Amino acid sequence: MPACVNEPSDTEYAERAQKGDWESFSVLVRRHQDRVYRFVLGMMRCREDALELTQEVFLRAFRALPSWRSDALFSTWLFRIAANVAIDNLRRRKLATYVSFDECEDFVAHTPGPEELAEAGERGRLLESALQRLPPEYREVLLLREIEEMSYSEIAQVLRIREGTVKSRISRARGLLLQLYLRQCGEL
Amino acid sequence: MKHCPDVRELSAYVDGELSETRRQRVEDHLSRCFNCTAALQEMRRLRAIFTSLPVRQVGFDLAPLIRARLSASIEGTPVRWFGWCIPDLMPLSLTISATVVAGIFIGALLTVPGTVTGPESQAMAMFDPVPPGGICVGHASCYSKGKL
Repeated sequence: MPACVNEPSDTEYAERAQKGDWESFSVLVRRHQDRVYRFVLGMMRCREDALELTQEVFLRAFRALPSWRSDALFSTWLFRIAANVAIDNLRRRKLATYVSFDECEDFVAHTPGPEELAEAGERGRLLESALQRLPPEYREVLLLREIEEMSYSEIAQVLRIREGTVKSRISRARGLLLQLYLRQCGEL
Repeated sequence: MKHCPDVRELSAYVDGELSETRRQRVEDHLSRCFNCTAALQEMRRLRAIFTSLPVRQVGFDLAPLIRARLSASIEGTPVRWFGWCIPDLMPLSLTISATVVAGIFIGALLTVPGTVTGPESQAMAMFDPVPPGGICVGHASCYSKGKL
């Protein structure tokens, strides 16, 4: 949810929260909870896990507030925590049942067929299902790019990787996701 | 651009992450290459499906829940003695070992050398002059010789 023109920025609220103002932190929670939730839901499998982990993200953010510096965007910093929480949780639960890296191939061109008449809801369901089979490292870059619409530079800051790595990872993730998606659709 | 661009280049083109010069080069190639145009269409198709996904929302304010969890975690913080937290100072294994050693030491203090141990005293209980539940500890202390 974008901040209104007259409302203080995330930075101002975060600085107040650093001084112990809980109400300011509550505003930040309300502003970002849906974005964080969407990202975590994309990484996890179910709503309950996503809700639990979204809370965990904000709990960690509150505890780590003293280490936040105003030269970093609060949302970038928050998404870094969210990515860490999601990946840690997936590793701990060993839910990362994804396609092995060996199966990753470069993108293969595919000519669209008449199957595109399928309903948007069904396509979305198939896409989400295919997304769950991606390695978490691929899933997170795609979610940050396609759902959160972050630039390569922002994604690089969130994940603490180089922009070149973001570029190649997104490209390979797209190729693999497309293969999985088309396979589910019966188009491959 | 005579040869097909790297797939990363096409992907970055879809994302609008190429410089003006490179973007122009890719577009020139796309106007002549069927395969790359098809690949580009697939990437755009994927993007369109992402866009069509329903917008998920939490549906309620998480802030009170988070505040409650923070309060609970503060209340559950271990007691600190003189500013030091014992669990912080001692790892779990060391704490368990210290507890076991302390238990053995205290147990040894309570055991008086020479006293009859449990199983042996139970075996001899049938010869005890005082029936079970009796208040006398023995003949000599209960009755004087004169009265008997």
